[in-house]
Amino acid sequence: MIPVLELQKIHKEFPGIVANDQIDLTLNRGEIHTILGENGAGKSTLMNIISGLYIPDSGSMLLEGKPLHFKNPAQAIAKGVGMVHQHFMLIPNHSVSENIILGTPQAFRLQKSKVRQQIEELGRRYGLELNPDLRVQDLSVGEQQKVEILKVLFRGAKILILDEPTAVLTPQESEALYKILHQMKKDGHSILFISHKMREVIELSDRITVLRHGKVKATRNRGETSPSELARLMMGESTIQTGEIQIKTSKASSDQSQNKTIVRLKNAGLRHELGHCLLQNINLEVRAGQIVGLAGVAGSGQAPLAEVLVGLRGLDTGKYQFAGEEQKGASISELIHKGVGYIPEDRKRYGIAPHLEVAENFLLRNLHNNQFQSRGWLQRDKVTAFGRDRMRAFDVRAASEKTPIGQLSGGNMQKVILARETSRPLKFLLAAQPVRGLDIHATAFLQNQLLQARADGLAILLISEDLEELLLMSDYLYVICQGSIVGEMPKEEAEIEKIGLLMTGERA
Amino acid sequence: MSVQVAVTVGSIVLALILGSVLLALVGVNPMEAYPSVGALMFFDQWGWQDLFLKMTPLLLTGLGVAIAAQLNLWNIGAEGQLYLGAIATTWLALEFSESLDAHFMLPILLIGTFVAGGMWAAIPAGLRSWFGVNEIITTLLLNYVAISLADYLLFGAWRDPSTLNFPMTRSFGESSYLPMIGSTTVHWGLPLGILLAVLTWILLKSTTIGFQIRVAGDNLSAADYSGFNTKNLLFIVLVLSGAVAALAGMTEVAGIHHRLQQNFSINYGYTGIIVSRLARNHPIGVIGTAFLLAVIFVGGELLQVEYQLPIAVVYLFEGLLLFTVIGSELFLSYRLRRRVAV
Repeated sequence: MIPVLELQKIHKEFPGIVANDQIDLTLNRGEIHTILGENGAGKSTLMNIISGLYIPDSGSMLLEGKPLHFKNPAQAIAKGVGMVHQHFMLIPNHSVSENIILGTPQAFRLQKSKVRQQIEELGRRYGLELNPDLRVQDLSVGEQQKVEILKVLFRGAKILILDEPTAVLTPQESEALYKILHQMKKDGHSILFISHKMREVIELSDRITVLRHGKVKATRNRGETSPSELARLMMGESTIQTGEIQIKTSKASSDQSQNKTIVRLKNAGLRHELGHCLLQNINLEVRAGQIVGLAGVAGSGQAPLAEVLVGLRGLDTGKYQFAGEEQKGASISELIHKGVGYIPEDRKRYGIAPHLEVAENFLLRNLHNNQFQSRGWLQRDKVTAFGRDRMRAFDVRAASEKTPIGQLSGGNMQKVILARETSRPLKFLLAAQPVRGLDIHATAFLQNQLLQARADGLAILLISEDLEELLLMSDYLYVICQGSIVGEMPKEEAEIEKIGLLMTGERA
Repeated sequence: MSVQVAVTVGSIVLALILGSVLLALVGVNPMEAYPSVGALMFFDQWGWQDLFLKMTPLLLTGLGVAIAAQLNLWNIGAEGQLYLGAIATTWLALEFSESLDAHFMLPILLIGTFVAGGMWAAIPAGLRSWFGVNEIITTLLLNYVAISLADYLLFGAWRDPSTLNFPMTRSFGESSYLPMIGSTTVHWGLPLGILLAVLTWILLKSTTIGFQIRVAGDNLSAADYSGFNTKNLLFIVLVLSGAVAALAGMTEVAGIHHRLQQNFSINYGYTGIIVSRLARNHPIGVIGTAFLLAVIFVGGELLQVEYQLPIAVVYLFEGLLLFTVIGSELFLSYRLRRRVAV
């Protein structure tokens, strides 16, 4: 049987990174084929190539045995390849049917009743029943996803690409989606499915292909693999290669269980404005002189947890104790005063004011410091001198301390943020993805600084999606999944495989 | 900085060149009109005094708009704030200028108008800060309220019966006249405006609140994460913006007309938006652009008088200038580079 889609040696590079490295992949008729991989493994690039958004540097694509190249998504759609994006591409104040016909060839006069009939027919066949006259803004997330799928089916897609479709769905909505996918499969549609979630991958897929660092690591048939094998393939062997860079992984000096608890969450819960749970029953402790790692797939609740810990949001339920005192409500400035440092995950969005000088950016969470102001007046020469001094200490490469910080490289920006956050008396440092996107030297520098800060008695919570980084740095580990802590262990008991399973919602 | 100034000056020159085509089209020789209008404007006693008088309200409204723009807020309400400032000044002057002398009266007018303008702007500021209501709409709509309020007073309680039913108040007592600089007809409103522009600059550059404003204007999320109270900052900045713009109303009625009358503002408030925009919202820059817009206003008046050109030509000039200056921002954002051969 000729596969409906065959990729041969697909190669795609972006400046400085090989996103897809000689990828071979086949998709058969009526098959659900899952692509599994960590963030940055090259899944999205590959899907964007298949759906015509990117053009590969080399390699070929065969559709039902015939070679072809898509120059844009319209050509892909015309050939029956449709993509359901993770972030919905819908117009909220238009109706379901208007969204579905958007961009499809229509007669000058819209034949609404005919369109409605088609939509209802598709809906019945695949269990995608929706009132076509409702506005998309009034639909739930799960229903909006149905609209996205209907959109693709309406265009006559035979091959559907679903990019982490269940990431935003409740378990019930996910179940409904699985049924829909099975029905489509029975009808002869082929589905490329992207996911992190181990259980659904195992249950749903006919075949599974694991990507790592842009390469195909393995392809497994249904029933011929196990969650632990997949986790190992996805995350890499548990060998930590520090390479040329020496990280001083000195053992934490004394028994940390005697250290003072700085941060304690008790049964902490948080709800979204729309009602669904962001955090559920979280119990977490960070002690002085300890690096606690928080492992989890992106979007598992790390962001709301960070917002609570730095004081941007107050808890709905449970308690947040900081240095023994209960923290009521949300107050960032209060927690800054008490000694909370924060390295935000999105450093450009939350960490800096891009057009202000590097030296001025040292004031951002430091303004209350009397060193820099006197009765409301900025001590500009002290600010400048401080900036120059810290830049030297942290090896920040910039033309001068008066350069706008937005002109610095990501690594240097991150050094400024770390230098700023650790340059005042701190009790607790929350570091979210502190080395993401940094080169190997900047990474080692930052990690050494964090280890040094730990040695000086700082309590550190390290949020990362990179398990190797977490195992290298942390003394104790928590695993978060769907807003709950699903596992915790001291470093000695941590295994990549076990954590990987926990992260993807599989009980080990 | 120097690139910005060079690009701005270049675009003004371009506007003048395009304007000369315009003049030629309506039958005026630009080679003759530019020098003669220029001479009248800069060397004639009446000309340069008028220039500085027109510059004053443009500077104050422009500065007001620029202050709001530091937090990426659009204060479209400078016209209404100017009217409200004039109303406040008029009320104070009519109430107290008979009984108080200038030493008391002038500070009262200054502070009273400033506070009144701030309270007026507190309406859109509060709505914006705590209810998220778009300040562009509220400030714009409040313009009509302030202008109508002035009309209501002028046609009603404040109308001077001796003016044969013209909509104007009676003249203020002399203690409420803004003094003139030396023997000129230019009042002290201009130095006041320049002083406020400099003070604004110092506030932004050298104080902690100014620092918070600059951070919040550059990256609001970062300001939140730095523990700054950004809602309060939005409120303070919009109130300050309205208070400064309201002072333009004071300098107009207390410095020139010495009474409130209908239509005393020739769109100074709206032109203030242009003044601020041309200066890229820089508080010192508005001094220069207010002068530039005053040149266009007075130059237009002179063209009307000397060459019998319609007022529309003045507006066309203003439009050309805006077009070239805002169009020139392209050159600030992008540079032409020679492609390097690989």
